[in-house]
Amino acid sequence: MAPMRSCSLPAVDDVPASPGRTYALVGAPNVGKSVVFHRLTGAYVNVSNYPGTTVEVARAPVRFAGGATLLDTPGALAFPSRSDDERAAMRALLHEDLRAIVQVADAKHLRRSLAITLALAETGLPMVLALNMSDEADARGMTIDGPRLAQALGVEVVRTVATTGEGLRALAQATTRARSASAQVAYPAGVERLIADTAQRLAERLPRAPIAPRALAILFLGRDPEVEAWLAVHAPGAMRDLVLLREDAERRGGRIASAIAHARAEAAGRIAAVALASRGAAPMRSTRIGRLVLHPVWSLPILAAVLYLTYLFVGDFGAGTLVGWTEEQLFGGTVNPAVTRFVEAHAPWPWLASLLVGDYGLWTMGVTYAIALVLPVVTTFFLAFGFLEDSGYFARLSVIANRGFARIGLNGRAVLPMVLGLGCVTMATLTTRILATRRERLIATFLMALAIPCSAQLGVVMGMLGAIGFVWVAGWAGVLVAVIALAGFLAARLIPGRRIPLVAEMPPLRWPVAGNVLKKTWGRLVWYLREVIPLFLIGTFAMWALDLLGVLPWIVERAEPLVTGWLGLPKEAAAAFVMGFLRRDFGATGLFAMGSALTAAQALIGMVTITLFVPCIASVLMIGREQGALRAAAMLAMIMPTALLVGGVVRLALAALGVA
Amino acid sequence: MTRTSTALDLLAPGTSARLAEPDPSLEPTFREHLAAYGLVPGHVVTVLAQRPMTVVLCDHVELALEAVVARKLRVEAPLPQG
Ligand SMILES: Nc1nc2c(ncn2[C@@H]2O[C@H](COP(=O)(O)OP(=O)(O)OP(=O)(O)O)[C@@H](O)[C@H]2O)c(=O)[nH]1
Repeated sequence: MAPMRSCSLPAVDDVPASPGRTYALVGAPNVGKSVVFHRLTGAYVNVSNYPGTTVEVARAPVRFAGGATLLDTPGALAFPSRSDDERAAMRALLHEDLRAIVQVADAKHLRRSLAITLALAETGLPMVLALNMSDEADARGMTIDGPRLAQALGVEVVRTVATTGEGLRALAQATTRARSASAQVAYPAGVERLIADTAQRLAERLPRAPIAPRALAILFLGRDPEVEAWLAVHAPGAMRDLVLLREDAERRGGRIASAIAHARAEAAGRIAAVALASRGAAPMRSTRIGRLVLHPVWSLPILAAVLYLTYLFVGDFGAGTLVGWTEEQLFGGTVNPAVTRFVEAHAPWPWLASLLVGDYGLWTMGVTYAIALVLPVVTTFFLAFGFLEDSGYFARLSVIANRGFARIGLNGRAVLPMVLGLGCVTMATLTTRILATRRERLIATFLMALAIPCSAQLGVVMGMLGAIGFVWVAGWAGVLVAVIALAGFLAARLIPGRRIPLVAEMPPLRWPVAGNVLKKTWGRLVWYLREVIPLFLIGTFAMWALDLLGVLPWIVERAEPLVTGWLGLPKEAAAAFVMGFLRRDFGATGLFAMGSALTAAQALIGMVTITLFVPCIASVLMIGREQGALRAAAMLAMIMPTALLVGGVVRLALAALGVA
Repeated sequence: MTRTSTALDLLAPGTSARLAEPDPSLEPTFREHLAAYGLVPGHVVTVLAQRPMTVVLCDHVELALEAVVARKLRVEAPLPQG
């Protein structure tokens, strides 16, 4: 997610990296890096209680040292890097001129954190260790002997609770004094010889490397793709020999990366054992509730309750009460009549008046629609989403949903983007980066583009079908789920590659911190408005122009056989589909506006078709950015006929059921 | 390893056991991934649930493991409770 800032500092992206004045936050996913980043810079990046949600490296000036900047890297579980996130973190280590590393660690999982500390120690870069989430470690009865740990590692160790700010000042001070760690992992003798040999060859060629030759050697031997790429550029002459050396060694002794991982885990375990004054007791309340949430029987009523409460908040309160107020009273009753009167009185030309306040007026349609109809729905949706995200429920939901997702070639992790898609598919497409493989990203992106309605559209559907009766909403949802299941089933078989089984950390269930949820919602809203309002205006303008040039009636004529014959809708519905090109919800509103002209069955057919028909322009652009233009075009080419096909099938099915 | 080992997914919830060498068919990259989570031979884990998925407590962190993975992780005889 694009970083968002609070208050008066310059924009995050505008700050140049000044040499040697850059600090980097590095650590495992979900340890609190984003909160620490916010505390140290005042800038805000996406914070959530779901592992792996920082998808880009964010950069902002720090408060503790004038002129210095801080990087927030995506979560890295281990080095050598494997995942895209780990690669991004490794890139930061290789390509930034770093003054020091601040490792943010989860105090609850000391052993695992120390394995990363030991890997970072090898780089020779100055560093400090922040033992974050110390409150949660305390609550579990763990006592960590900080000074002893600091002595074992040779770096300063600071206890922090990022959410309350505890220890952050001390962390800032320690960071300015950071020094290289003294702890070193001793690898098996054979591996050590290889490392020494490789490191020496590298040192000869690279007198000034960003990280120590020993670290470069270890990462190269462990097949870190970023280090390989870096070496290919900076020491091209050495590569051939080094690759041969590595291959020869692996043929004789097995994967070096495994040996490295093992030795580090063991060394980390030893240091953790020394530093843990008390290991703490077993399960506590949040664990018990967490188990209830996953319970084979209880999980379902809990899920139903979560969905229902979300519906009450977003569907009932947001799309009903709030929209009723903004749309009918605020815009319909007060603002729009006033604006219309004003424009009609002052506009020098009639076309200008129609462009601004006509049927397809920039104000009466574009702005009104974005602010009165959509904003309340996305706001409530993002609030609810942020609450669930921060609570740790999504991680559990991914476990519950895993079996179903396995059938469509995904794993439970895809729950997060898919649910976020219900808010904004464009944003969710960006979030597919948290998925482990390109294949999963492709499948999830395709399914979202095809059949996940965004909140704006949900609002319209609820308004239209909800007014006819709940079964029609259920029918609409049922068709979409069936389409996702079928399309996913096919995609999983047709797209080459393997499914990755789910191995996921369950963050403890937490009562969400209001400030976090609000900041996150605000960040998403700003993003949404920036991305979407211009598109609304462009869309409205295009409609106005098409209407003026008489293209709209022409398309309506042309599409008639399909719209009337195959879908059984009045021919004016074609205009709604044209609008759907610009935004799906926009098209849905077109249908909505036809309201009483449609029978219940036509409303359902129309809504199903328009939901599937085409993803909005913003999300097509995002798909192009993430997957390439070719794939985006191919997806469109598949999605549109599918939508018409499904719409027609729904009509036939309804006719067979005797519903006209 | 001479002692017999069982698959992690057969362990009853509530029991703790020491991890043994995993099944040789578990891919090395996956082993490394699990090692990064702290799941290494010799370490003690407690099974919290087996359905809908195996969930273990490793140190103080809960990890959910899909059946295909849990089946290949092996443990020594369960430790006495308490
Ligand atoms: N109890 C407690 N919760 C914390 C602390 N620090 C962060 N959190 C919460 O932990 C969750 C994860 O925080 P993030 O800052 O998103 O973690 P991250 O390391 O940036 O995660 P990724 O973006 O996934 O790499 C959020 O729900 C935070 O509110 C802490 O010290 N104590």
